[in-house]
Amino acid sequence: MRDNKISVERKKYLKKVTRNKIIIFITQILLLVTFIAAWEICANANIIDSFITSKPSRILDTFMNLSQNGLLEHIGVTCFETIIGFLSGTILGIIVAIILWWSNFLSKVAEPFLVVLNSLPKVALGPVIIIWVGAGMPAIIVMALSISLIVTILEILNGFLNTDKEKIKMAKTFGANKFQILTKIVIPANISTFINSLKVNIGLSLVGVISGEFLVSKAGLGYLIVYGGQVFKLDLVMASVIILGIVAAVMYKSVVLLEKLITKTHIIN
Amino acid sequence: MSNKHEILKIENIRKIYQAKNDELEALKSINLKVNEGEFVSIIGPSGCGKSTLLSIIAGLEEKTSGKIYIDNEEIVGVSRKIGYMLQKDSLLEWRSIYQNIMIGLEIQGIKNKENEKYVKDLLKKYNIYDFRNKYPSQLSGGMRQRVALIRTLAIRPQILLLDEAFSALDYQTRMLVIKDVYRILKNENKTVLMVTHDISEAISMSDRVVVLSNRPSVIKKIYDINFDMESRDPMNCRENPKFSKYYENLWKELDINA
Ligand SMILES: Nc1ncnc2c1ncn2[C@@H]1O[C@H](COP(=O)(O)OP(=O)(O)OP(=O)(O)O)[C@@H](O)[C@H]1O
Ligand SMILES: [Mg+2]
Repeated sequence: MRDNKISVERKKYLKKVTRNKIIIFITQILLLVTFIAAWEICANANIIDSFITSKPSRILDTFMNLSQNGLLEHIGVTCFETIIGFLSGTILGIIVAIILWWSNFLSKVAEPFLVVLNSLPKVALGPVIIIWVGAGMPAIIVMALSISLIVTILEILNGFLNTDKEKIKMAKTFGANKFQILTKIVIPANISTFINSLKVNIGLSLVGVISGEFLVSKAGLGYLIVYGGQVFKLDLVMASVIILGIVAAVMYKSVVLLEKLITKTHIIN
Repeated sequence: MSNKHEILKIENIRKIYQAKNDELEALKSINLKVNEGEFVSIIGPSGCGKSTLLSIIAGLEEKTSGKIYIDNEEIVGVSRKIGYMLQKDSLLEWRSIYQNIMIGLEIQGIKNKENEKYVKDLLKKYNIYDFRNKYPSQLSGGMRQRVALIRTLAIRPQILLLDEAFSALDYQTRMLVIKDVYRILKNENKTVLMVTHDISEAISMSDRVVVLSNRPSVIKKIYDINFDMESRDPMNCRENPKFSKYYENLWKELDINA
């Protein structure tokens, strides 16, 4: 860095790294193009039944049509439900984790319940949730929340309890009270725990929302998928799944971006 | 010397740890008086309760019985007159050096103009000022320990407790840091109670060395260290002929213990 002149070996090495990157990228694109082309050709040549597999050109058509028929609204509904479920699950999880960290007694009491709830497939609660909060958007959001909540609590509590004891002791030597230990040591020391939990939760919330939409909804990508399946419009199902994939990727990337932002301002390595 | 002010008095300190299936008597009865500005070291066999004693004085650990006085006033819990420096520097990597040093003042709610100026002066005096906006990971081990010391001094304690504060450093760095810390502590006229397992470290820095017995521990012997030197420091006193004499005595004392 100090030297402006880069050695020949360094140049060679850097060149090799960039070349590798380019080769990997090209291979990925080729793979995707080949797959889509093979799909289209096989469907056209009747090697596969496009009634049950659909085909890329028709998916594209559906895509275009849907853009006029309120696809954006469906995407919007799913995103909205996911973000609300994600935020409430994460915030509630953090609050509960803080309470359990604060009180050793409560955390001991809660432990077996958390373990059981954690291994229970949350989708099984679907019908109960619908009866309790009614069939509609609230049920879907509660579903998303219930899927991410317990994992968040366990993950964050675990991070809190594993905070460097020496750092806590250091704060205590200055007479820190429990609240100060929480805000000055435990929370800042667990920024990476929070981010990891965000990463996991965004995916889980999406799972919760889609399963909720399968059960009750009148809108959203999950609804489109179920509806398309019921009327055997595989083009619609495929298009929705692809969009869902894109939505999931965008949400995940936003968390990663947030992570970069936070690590930049918080910890300099 | 004789009319020095007695700043710290430890009276009949006893500590019994309770565990699920047993109890363990770490300290039987410890009595000690320390004068203002004095440097006292505590050595003793491994596991005899040295850290326990410091933690009790610092108010981090409950004592089973006994009393602690500072300036003839009994203290209970964490006292603001005491600073405690641990083996690990425990600098917070998400805070800059300056913010790390300010944490004690923040916790005690005394982060005011006057104290900030005091800290800035300390930083300048001990060559940390230029690093104040750096982060802990950018500093060497010796430098980090110096920052930890300044962090402890920032709350202006009258008495400093050091628990193996240098043992995590490599030999070369340790020698330099010890000399450095000694200079700073003498300069600031602090009273120091230091635990170490290194006999020469104890002799080179202290006015008195306290030897603890095996567990349950009592004070076995107290050695006065006096080199009669004009400007004594932890380096030059090692060449004094008395040094090896002290070393031999202390080493034997510990050996008999084992
Ligand atoms: N929280 C605790 N609960 C039960 N026993 C403890 C606890 N802390 C320390 N002990 C025991 O008390 C004794 C004294 O411990 P302490 O750490 O004070 O010794 P030490 O002299 O500092 O040892 P070292 O030379 O290893 O630093 C040890 O036998 C230790 O196992
Ligand atoms: Mg110890």
